[in-house]
Amino acid sequence: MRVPRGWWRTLQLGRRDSRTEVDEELELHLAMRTEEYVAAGMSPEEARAEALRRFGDLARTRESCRRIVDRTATSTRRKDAWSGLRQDVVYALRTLARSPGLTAAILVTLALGIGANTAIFTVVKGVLLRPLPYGNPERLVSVYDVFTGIDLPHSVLSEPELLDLERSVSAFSAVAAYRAGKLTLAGVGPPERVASMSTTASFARALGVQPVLGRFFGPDEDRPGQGQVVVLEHGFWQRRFGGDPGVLGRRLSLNGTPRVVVGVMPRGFTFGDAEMFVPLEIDRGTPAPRTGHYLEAVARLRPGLSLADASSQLAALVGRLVPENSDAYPANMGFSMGVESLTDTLVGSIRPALLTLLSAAGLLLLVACANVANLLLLRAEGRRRELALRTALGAGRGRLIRQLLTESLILAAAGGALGLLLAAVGVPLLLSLDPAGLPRRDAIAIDYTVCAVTLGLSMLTGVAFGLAPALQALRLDLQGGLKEGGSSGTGPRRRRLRRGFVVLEISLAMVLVAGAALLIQSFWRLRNVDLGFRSDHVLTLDLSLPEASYNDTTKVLGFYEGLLQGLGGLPGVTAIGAASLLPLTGREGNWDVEIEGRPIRPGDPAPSPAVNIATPGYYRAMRIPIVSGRVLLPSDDERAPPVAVVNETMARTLWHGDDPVGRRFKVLGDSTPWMTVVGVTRDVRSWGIARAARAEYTLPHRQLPVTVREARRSMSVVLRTSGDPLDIAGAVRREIASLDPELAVANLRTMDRVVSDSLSRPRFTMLLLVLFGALALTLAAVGVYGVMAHGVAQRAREIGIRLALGAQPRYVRRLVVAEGLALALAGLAAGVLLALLVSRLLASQLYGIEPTDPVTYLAISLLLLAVALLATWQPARRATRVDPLGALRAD
Amino acid sequence: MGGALATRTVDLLQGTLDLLVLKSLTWGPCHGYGVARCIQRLTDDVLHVEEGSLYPALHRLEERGLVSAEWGVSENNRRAKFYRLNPRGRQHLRVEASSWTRYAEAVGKVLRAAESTG
Repeated sequence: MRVPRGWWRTLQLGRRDSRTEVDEELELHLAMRTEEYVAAGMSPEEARAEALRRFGDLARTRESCRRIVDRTATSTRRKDAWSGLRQDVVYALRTLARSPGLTAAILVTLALGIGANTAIFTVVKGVLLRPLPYGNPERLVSVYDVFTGIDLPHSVLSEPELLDLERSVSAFSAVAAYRAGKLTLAGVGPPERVASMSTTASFARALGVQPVLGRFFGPDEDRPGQGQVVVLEHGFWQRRFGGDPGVLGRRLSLNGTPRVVVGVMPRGFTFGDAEMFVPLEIDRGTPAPRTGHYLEAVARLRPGLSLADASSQLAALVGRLVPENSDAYPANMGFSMGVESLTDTLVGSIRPALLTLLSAAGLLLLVACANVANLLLLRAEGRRRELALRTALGAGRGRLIRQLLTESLILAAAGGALGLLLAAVGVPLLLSLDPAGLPRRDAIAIDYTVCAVTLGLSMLTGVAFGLAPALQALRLDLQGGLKEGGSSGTGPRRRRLRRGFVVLEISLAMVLVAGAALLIQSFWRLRNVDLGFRSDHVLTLDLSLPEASYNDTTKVLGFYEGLLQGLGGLPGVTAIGAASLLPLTGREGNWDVEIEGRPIRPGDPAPSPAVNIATPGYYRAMRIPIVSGRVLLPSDDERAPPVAVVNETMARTLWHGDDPVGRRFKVLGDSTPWMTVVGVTRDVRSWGIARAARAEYTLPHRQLPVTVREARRSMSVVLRTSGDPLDIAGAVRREIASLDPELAVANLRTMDRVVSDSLSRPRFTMLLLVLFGALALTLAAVGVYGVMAHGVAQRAREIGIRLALGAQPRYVRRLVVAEGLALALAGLAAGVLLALLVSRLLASQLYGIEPTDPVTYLAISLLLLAVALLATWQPARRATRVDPLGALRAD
Repeated sequence: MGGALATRTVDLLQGTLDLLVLKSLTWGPCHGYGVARCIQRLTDDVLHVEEGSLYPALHRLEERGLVSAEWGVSENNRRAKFYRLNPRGRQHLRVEASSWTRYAEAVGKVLRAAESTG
C-alpha cells in the first residue's frame, strides 16, 4: 500500500529530526563525562580524550542508534498517518450521517451521473471497442463495389469480381465471400427457419478461426453440386442438439435437401446472426455474369500492409477491369472498388448514435458534478464556524482540506457503487429498448474494464467536486468565521463560485434538453411519415418454399393459390395478399429495365428500379391507394398479356410526368416480353421509415414464369382482419401446417409491429436523450433552488432591514426573482451557444429537422426559463415572510 | 575516579545490559549519562560497561516499547533526552529479573557442588 504524498513528506522531515537528536544525545553524554573529569582535575583536552576512550566506538554507536531511531520514526509516523486517515473517514461518515437529506441528494445525483455513463460505456465497449471475435481482427477488411453514377456508394460484388480479388490483389492473404440467408430446418423438432450464412471455403481461414469440432468446408466443397455439408454455430449446436458431439456426420434436411454436419464453430464466434454455415457455390470455370452483384466480401490484409495499400491495389485492378469489360461497367456508372475495416462494416451504422449517447451521458455527469459541488459548497459554508473552531483548536489547514476531500471521495465511492448497481440494472433495460437494431449485443457485458472506468469516473468526480469546497476552506478566514457567527456574511468570491456552477448547470442542461427536443421532433416526424399503406389490423408472415419439394412453377403457384384461399376463408379476415417486398423491410433488389422506344445507349446505365412481386389481393389488404389505372387482377395470369403496376416515383422519373398507363417496358435480359403498365400506385416506404421511396414496379406473381421464366418461392403474406390480428395467429399456423407440415412460418407479427421495429433505433436514441435531458433539467432546477434559497437565508438580515424600513413584500420578491432570472439568462445564453456548436454532431440522427431549428431553441429557452422561475418562486416567497425583528435579533 | 577500570572486571553477558538499564531506570526518569553513572555505581565498577553500548540499548528498549522517552532539561541546564520505565517495561524487568536470579542460582549451585566433591 502506498502512502499518499503529503504523508511521505512528513516522514522525510521526521527522519532528519531524529538524526540530529541522536547526535545531540551522544554529545551531551561526552560533554558531561568531560566536565566530570575536568572537575576531578584533568585538563580539558585530557578529559575529552578520556571520555571518548571510555565511551568506546563513537561512530559505530552513532550509526546503530540512527538505524534504530529511523526505524522507530518510520513505523510510528506510518501508524499516525493511518490512524489519521481512519479518523478522517470516521469523522466524514459521522458528518455525512448528520445531514441525511443532503447526503442522499448527493448520492442520488452521483449515482445517476455515474450510472448513466457506466451503462452507456458498457454498451459502447461491447459494440465499438471490443475486438471482433476473430484471429487478428484488426487486419480484416470488407471489399465493396462503388457506383457513383447511380448513387450506390456501397454495393455487393459479382462472382467474376471475387475471382479478380483472389487472383490479382496481393495485399490480401485470403479473400472470402458470404451471403446471409435463411434455411428451413426440418426433421429436428418442428420445422424452423434458421438464419444461415453461405460462405466460400476460404471463409474460416480468412477470419482466422477453426471449428472447435470437426472441420470447415474443404477447398472443393464450394463448387456447384459438390458439398452437401453444413457447419453449425456453437450456440445453435447447444440449443438444438444439446451440445452433442455425435452431431458430426448427422444428416439435416435444409430447404428439403439433406446436408451432412461436418463441423461446429467455437464458442464466442458469431458472424451476423448466422446459426449455420453452408458452402456458397461458385462455378469458378464459368462464373455468373459480371453484372450479377450479390456477394459480400471479407479479406485479410497481409502483415505489414495497410488499408491504403489495399486501396491502391484495388484502384489498379479497377483501372484494368473497366476497359476490358466496358459493357459491364459503362462510363456513366462511375464504377470503382472500396475497402474498409470489417469493424466499420459491422458497427459503423450504430456508431454515431452510441457516441451521441456517450457524449450526452458525459454532459449529464458534468451537470451532476456541478450540482454536487454546489451542494457541498453550501454545506461547507454552513460549516464555516465548525471549521474555524477546529482551526483555532490547532487543526492544520492541510488536515481540514484532507478532511473535506475525504468526505467527497467517500461520497464518490458510494455514488460509484450505486452507479454500478444502476448500470447493472440499466444495461439489460437499455438492450430491451432496442430489440432489433443493435449489432454484437452478445459482446455487451459489465466487466473489469467497465468497473475500472466507473471507479476512475467516481474518483475523478470526487476530486473535481471536492476541490472547490476544499479550496474555499483554504481561504477560510479564521477570525471572520468565528466573529460572524458563521451565518450572515458570505464573501462575494464564494457566491460567484456558486453562481458559476449554477450557470454551468443551466447551460449544460440546455444542450441536453435541446438535443432531446430535436430528437423528439425528429421521431415525431418519422412516426407521422406517410408510409403509403395502412399498418393497422394487418397480420404478416414470411414463407419460403423449399426448392427440393417445390421444383416447378405450377407447384409454387398452386401452393400459394390454395394458401391464400384457405387463409382468406378464416373468420375475421377481410382481405389477403402476398408480396415479395414487404414495406419497411426491403433489402437491395433491383431488376434493370428498358423503356419501350428508349433503347439504352452504350455507356449509359440501364434504369434500375426496385422490383416487387405481388398477388392481386395485396393492394386491398395493405390499403395502398391507386393513383391512376387499375391494380393487378386475378385475370392477369400466365395466359394473359404481361402487365405491371408502377409507383409514382417510377412514373415521374422514367416517364417524366406523362401518364405511363398503357406504355410498355421490359426486364433487361434475353427474350423477355414487353409488359404493359396498367396502373400507378402511391409511393410506399419499402426500404425503411426514413428512406424515401425509390422507383419501383410490381409484377403479378402468376405471370413471373412468363416474364422472367421462374417462380417466386419466398413471399410475405399479409392478412387484413376486422379484429385484433393476433387473435387469428393460431388459426393461420394450423392452416399452413395442414397444407404442408414441413413448412416453417417465420416472422409472424402484426404490421404495426413491423412499423414499430423500424422505429426502434431512433426511439432508443430519443428515449435515452430525453431521460438525460430530464435529469439534467431537474438537477439544474435543484441547483437554482439551492443557491436562491441559501441566498435568501444568508440575506435574511438585509431583507429584514428593508422590510422594517417599509419595503413592500412585492419589491423584495422581485429582488429575489430578478437574481434568479439573471442566473437563468446567463446560463441560457451560454447554453444556446454551446448547443448550436454541439447539435451539429446530431445531424446524422435527425429526420426532417435542422439541428439549428430556431423554433426548438426558442421553446427550450422558454421551458428552461420557466423551470428556473419555478425554482426561484419558493425562496422568493420565503423572503417576503422574513420576520424583521427576528432577523435583526438573530446575531 | 582514575581507578574506575579495575583489573578484575567482568565482561557483560549478552542481554544483561538491557536488564541493568531497566533496573537503573526504576529510580526514576533518567538521561543516558545518568544511566551510565547509575550502573557504574551499582556494580562498584566490577562490570565493564562500554558506555557507547548503552545508547543503542536504550533506543532498542524505546523501540520495543519498554521505555518511553521525551526531551527535557538536564541538571546542568541542557536539552537532554530522558528515558522513563513504563508499565510494560516494569513488567518485563520483573519477569527477566526472576529468570536471571533462577539462572544465577542454578549456576551457583552447580559450581558449589563441584567444589565439595573436588
